Amino acid sequence: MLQCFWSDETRFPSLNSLASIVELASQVSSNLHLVLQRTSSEITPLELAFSPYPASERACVRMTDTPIIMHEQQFQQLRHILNKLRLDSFSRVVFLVDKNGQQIAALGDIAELDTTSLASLAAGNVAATGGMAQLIGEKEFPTLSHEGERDSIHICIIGRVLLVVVFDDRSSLGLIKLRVKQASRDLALLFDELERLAAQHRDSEESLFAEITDDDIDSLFN
Amino acid sequence: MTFINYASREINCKIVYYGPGLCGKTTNLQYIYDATAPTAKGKLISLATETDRTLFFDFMPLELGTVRGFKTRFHLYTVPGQVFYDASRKLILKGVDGVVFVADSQEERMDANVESLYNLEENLSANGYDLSKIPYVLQLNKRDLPNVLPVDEMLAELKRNGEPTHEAVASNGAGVFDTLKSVAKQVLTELRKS
Repeated sequence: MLQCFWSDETRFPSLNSLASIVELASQVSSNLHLVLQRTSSEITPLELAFSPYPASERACVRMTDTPIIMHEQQFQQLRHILNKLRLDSFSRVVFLVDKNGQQIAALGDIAELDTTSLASLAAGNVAATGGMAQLIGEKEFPTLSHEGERDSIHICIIGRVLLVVVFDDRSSLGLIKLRVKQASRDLALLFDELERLAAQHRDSEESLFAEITDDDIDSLFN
Repeated sequence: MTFINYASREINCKIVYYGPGLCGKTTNLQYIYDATAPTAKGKLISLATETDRTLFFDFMPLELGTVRGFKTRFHLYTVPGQVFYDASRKLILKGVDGVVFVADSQEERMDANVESLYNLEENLSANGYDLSKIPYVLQLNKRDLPNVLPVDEMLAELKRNGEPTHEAVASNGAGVFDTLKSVAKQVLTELRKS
């Protein structure tokens, strides 16, 4: 893996320069996997990595400030991936949260679990440890584990989302890590697809919310 | 950052209450929590020190109702106001959809208000936001105290653009829901625009 770092003060000059670097690196290996962070006005390269997967299987979750828009079909796929992970890893609960603490999906023994609060705390936890990582010169800590007497939590960062697994002594941290790694690839592909659909949604003029009237909004508060 | 779930027909938005230490951010949330029907709210999570000062954040989910068949759910957060928790404040602003700045109306806290507002602008900018472009409301809190500054004087110092402003006494709930309504309305209007 080749990682390139830029300091905060150094702005990456242009997309052309980025393209040159990609071209140069591609001559070294054809399995180049490029992860970009897009902000509102510029694209900042975070990492250039040589991926073991062929081009057709590559996926990355782009970090954007755009809303996550979940459609029925992708939501069912997502539930399928999470359910498979839960069964394969013998875990109690599997849920997916965005980095800002919004719960996206939850599966397992959730009847007596306050998943909304857990989601916001998991995001806070990742944000706090991410802040510590940056203070010591790391980009982030991609996984976090908290072991309890009976139940434990494993959190894995996948682009803009967090995969949270709650497990007990029917499973083990090693098995959870292995299964999470496998599920991460599927989730990354799925969120890539969602990103593409969100871009289409932005371009389309048929936004559902464009029809919201002032009266609709006022009625929420009456 | 709004999360729209077409499958479960939900819209989730994030609102952050910002302001100097002891200005009443947590009191705002506490009042909303106490005054809301149990079916419309989740737990109020407070990560506080032993002396009840906010250490990381307070959080409560609030369901407002349905608009065009979508449940609207607001996640309300507060930041720790004390100056040295700046790193935490910056993190909590990530993905914010709307901001309420709670100003302390007491004369001796005016400098703290100004400093905190400047800090808000700085931290928003670090997260790629511009205070003048996001849904934003200014709340002048603690209007019931004897040593408060006149409203005009506070607005001259703290008002940025044409943001809505509300006088409030968070401890008895005056102005609390007006403030929330004001910012929630802007967030939904923004959603319509985008």
